Amino acid sequence: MENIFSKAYNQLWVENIHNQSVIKQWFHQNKLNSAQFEAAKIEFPVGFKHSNIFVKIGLFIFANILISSAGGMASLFFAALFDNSLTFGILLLIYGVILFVVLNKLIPKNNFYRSGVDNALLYAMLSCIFGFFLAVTDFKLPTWTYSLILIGLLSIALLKYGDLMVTICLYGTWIFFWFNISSKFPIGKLILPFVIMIISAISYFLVKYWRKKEGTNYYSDSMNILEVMALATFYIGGNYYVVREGNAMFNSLDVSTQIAFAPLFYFFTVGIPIFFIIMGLKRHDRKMLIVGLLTVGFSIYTYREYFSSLPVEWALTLGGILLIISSVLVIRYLKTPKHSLTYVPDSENKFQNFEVIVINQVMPTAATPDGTKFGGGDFGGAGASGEY
Amino acid sequence: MQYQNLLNTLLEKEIISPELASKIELEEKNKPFSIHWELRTLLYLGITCLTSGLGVLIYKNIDTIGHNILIALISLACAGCFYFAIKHIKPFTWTEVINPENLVDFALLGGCVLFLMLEGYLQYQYNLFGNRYGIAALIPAIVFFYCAYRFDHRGVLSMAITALASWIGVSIAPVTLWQSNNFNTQPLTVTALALGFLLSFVGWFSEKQNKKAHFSFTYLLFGGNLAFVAASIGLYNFDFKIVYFIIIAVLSFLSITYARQKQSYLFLLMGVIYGYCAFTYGIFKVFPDDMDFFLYQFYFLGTAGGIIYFLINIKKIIKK
Repeated sequence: MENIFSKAYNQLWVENIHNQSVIKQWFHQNKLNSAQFEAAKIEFPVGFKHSNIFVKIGLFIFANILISSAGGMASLFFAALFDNSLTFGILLLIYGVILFVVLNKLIPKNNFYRSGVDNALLYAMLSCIFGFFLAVTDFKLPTWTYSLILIGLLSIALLKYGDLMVTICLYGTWIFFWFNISSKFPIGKLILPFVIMIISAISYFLVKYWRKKEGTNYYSDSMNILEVMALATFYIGGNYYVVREGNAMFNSLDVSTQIAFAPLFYFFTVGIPIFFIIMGLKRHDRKMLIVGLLTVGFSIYTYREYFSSLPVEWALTLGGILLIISSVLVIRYLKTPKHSLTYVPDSENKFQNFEVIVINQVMPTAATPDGTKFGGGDFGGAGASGEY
Repeated sequence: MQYQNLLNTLLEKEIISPELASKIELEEKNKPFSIHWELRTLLYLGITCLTSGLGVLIYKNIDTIGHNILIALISLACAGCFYFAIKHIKPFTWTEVINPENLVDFALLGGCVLFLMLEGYLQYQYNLFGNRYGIAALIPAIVFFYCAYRFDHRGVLSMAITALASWIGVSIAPVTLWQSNNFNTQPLTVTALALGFLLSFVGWFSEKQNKKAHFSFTYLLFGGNLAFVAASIGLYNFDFKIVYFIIIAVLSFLSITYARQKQSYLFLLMGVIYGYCAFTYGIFKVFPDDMDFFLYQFYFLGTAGGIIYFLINIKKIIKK
């Protein structure tokens, strides 16, 4: 049998997915002619079953139904063993191992790659195995040990499967682990923001270092997610609102009070988003730019929470006008590329149909017959109301 | 850098010449960074913030002097948006119009949202349409449908569909459709069902006749979902369950067939999920209540397995 730590998916094919997309882009930009395009496509084969995102969603849903009903059926036979947490844990482990074997048989057989079924099996398998650890130890160990177990488990899963959800959970647990450890000590509580920021920064540079190594393209999506999350937690660690409310929570205060080193956190709250946006634009790093834009929103929210007496409708109106004017100006300015930035899209707009759904959800909807007060009466929803 | 390895491989295999390779490399190196989506999103966000803020401002400041100025400004902005859109208008065709002026889309959208706001205000303040709320709701629908076709704008089309739906009394915005179960009476459910069918038919028809064929997705998505949700609610809540059950079966069949023809898998997913929910509901209605737990599990095991098999082999099934 193969090493259980070896990569679950065909590494070459995973890498070729990216190569194929670059080749396709070059072909669309007329850098390659069609003969070259066809020849190049053969050079980078991808043998995975190609399925549409909606088919994947359907497969994921029904695979989950299948897994839980199979577990439910099996549990009927072993109901007697459920009372004891040790035997219950062992049952979970057995089910986890079965799922693991099935998963690793199905992947090569059906050429799955993030096809929904393999995702569902993977998550169920990991939950069973982690459940085993919880059950056999009877939830008695301190939280940080469970965090460590989960980190170990998810790290192995990440190295083997390169899965995005696993990556997200792994990073979340990693940060939670440091949060948990640090908040155990009085001094740790004080320096908690700095701990989170330092861990985030270290994680970010570790990922950058990892990316530079040869043959890590198998993980490129995971690395992207990790970078984004590291940037986000770096900001959150230094955000004034989070620190102030967190401080109030630790000291069980009903109303949060001013914190130590407040000016430093003002500086972080204002400076980090600006730094992200400038660096993102300079280095052509989309992840940094997007995190920067989102964190600007959160910074504005932070400011309004403590310092602003401007009513929310005025803030929305003025902010909206400002946003519209500035983005229109930038769009007009960047119609022809300047400072190596451009408004011209990289590729064709594939999401046109889905943009419509978002527009319909966010824009004020039309009148209802009973209503006197209609039109733009309510807050648009989703993105808008939280931002200002 | 990723593309350098790629270029080297292409060079080694002699698919491209060294000149082309160095040309591509140079272009990649000097390629400007596209912030198209970021700017677009910011602009949408701006329009949303502005209209939400203005909506509240109008009602909070009614009967003050500033209020009239506000209304005048909104009217001006609305007129300005439409003026900008009309200035860049393209001749009407039944095919997709590519407008090189990017901002026209946004101007039209902004104009339409502001129009809705002004109309709502006039009704609120001056009772313009009296108690004939129907007219008040129908006017935006007509204006938006006209604009959607004249300016070729899918976003405004979706607003028109929403306005039409609210004229007959149902909210159709995607999330609201799920959240607020506003089909609490049978007539309303039937109306919603009829509208869903009508919209789906218009979508299908416009694709078939090639009249604004790219609008068909919007029609089908809104119409299909409305019909499915209305029929499902009818099935769960009202009598004549068998009728609603058959309607869902027909809808599922139609949407899966359509998905197979057009390779549009969203409709496949819709057909499968709504159909599966209705089928499961039907099965458990027919079977006795005290059915063995084992059989429940067995039902889910079997059906989920079957659907997974269907979805995995969908390509083969389509080709047949």
